[in-house]
Amino acid sequence: MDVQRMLWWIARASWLLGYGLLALVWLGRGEWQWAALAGVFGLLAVIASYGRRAWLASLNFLVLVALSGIGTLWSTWSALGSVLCGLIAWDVELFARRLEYFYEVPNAVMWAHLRRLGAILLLSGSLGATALSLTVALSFWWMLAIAFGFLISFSLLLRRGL
Amino acid sequence: MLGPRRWAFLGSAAFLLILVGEILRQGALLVLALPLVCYLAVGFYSALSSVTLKAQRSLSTARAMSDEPITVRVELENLGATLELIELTDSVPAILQLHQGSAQKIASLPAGEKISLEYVVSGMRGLARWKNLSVRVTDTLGLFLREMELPCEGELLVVPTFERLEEIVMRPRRTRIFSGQVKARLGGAGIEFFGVREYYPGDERRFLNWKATARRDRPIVNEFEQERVADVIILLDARARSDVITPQPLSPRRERGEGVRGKSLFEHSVRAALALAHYFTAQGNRVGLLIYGKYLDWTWPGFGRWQRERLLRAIVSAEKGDKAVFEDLENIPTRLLPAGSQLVFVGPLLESDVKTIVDLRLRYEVLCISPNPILFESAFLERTPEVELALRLEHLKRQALLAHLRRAGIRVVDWDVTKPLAAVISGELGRSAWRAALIRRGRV
Repeated sequence: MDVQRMLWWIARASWLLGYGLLALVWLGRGEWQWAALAGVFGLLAVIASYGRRAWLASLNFLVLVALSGIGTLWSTWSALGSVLCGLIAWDVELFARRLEYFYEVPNAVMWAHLRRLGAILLLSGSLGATALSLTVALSFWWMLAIAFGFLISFSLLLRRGL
Repeated sequence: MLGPRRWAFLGSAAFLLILVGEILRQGALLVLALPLVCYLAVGFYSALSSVTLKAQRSLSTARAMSDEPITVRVELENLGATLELIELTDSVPAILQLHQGSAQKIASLPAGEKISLEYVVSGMRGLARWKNLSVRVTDTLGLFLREMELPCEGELLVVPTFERLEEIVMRPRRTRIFSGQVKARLGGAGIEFFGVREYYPGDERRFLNWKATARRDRPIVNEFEQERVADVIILLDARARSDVITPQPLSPRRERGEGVRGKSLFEHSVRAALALAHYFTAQGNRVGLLIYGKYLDWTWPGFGRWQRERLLRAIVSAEKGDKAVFEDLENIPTRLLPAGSQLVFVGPLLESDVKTIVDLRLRYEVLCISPNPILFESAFLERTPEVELALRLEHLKRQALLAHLRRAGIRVVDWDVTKPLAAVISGELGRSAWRAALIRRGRV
């Protein structure tokens, strides 16, 4: 399988998985209208991926995030999963579109991108899972200290030229 | 979506989720914003550092013939930090066509290493110039973008195939002082007999004409015609209105380019001008060029190989033009043309050109090499009776036009472009044709 076909396969599968997760949750709870809406948007996302309009990927991602936000009322885990899938689909589709203009794409380029995306998913997945599993009660002073720490680290990053 | 737009899209989406989550007091919405925030954070961590690149272009040859494949290679060296993703886009000049490979490349480029972009092009005619190489550097996620144009120059001259002419006999009104191959209408050292005169001390005895000496009872010597170089100006007609462009090929034979080569009659004029420039400079003449069409492209007359190169470049780069001011030949800047020089007009002749060319004949020797537009176009027409009649009428009109020019003492070569130019010219402008013309006029 060449690089671009593989990327397109990943993107379409992720769109289906993202919208499918939400649809399954709503189907399980008997919310037929919401499930149908998720299914339709999922199909539209896949169909749009065959077209030439790159901006439709961003629109589909926004729709998925919005539906996931609504989906949090039923299942927060599924909503997080579908946002993660949407992020994969959006990023990989745009990357595949970017590579379309090139005659030869080295495998290393694709794998470097997928590795970076994998790291993001791992990080955000684990942070999300931690946030959903743990409940931490912090006092105002702890919050203030953490905010101050973030401010310091951010300014250090800026000084590094970022 | 790359660079700031991607960053703005993700940042806005994350901000909206957090805002809505805060307003609705839904912590789950904050969790949904986490993947987006992580994406941006990782992107920030791997942001681009300084980009220092150096590009160099090499061509397999600096001069190529029509349709000859030329390999273009661009090498890019990274003098800065490692670049995760780099896109190279080379703009192929319009006169060239891409045959193999691609003028775009995407790759990652570690520090101190090089990548190369290679493709094969070919062209019909013209001067192709590359100036820059477009480079786009991004991080893997595409959050940071830097676009630049690296100087990376290159030049390729695509010369159409042209014939080597063998012989053109010409008699310009004036010649220059250097010896050459043009009859100077002056007696002196030479090969061809010119006349006889009285013997002067210092004349070689072998040139004594004994019969004339005996007849006149005083020493008479033979004199020969001096051969010198001449000023030759090639006038290339590049007016769009005088050009004939053929429609799409109709038959497989024509698709292969057999019979009539090329799609525009102007290309044949260009080939003829190249052949003439090559011939006249090789003969040692002082040759200049005026391309009349898009603008007045004037190449000052000169001698030798450098001049031949200048003429070649000018002719190869010639473009057609449809400027109203150059619609007729009457705006030819005659002040530029050396007095008494030999003018060689190359182009299909229009009726409105005749008067100007005849006027030029008053001050210069004029020679016309005219690719026949009627024969050229007729090869692409379906032969219906109406077309046949129209062609006959046009042919007669052209014959009358050429006869008018010939009556004015202008030598005209009516060139059927399906025939080799060298053969046509040696038949009509060679020594034998010259002699035949003299016999017809009763001068021999």
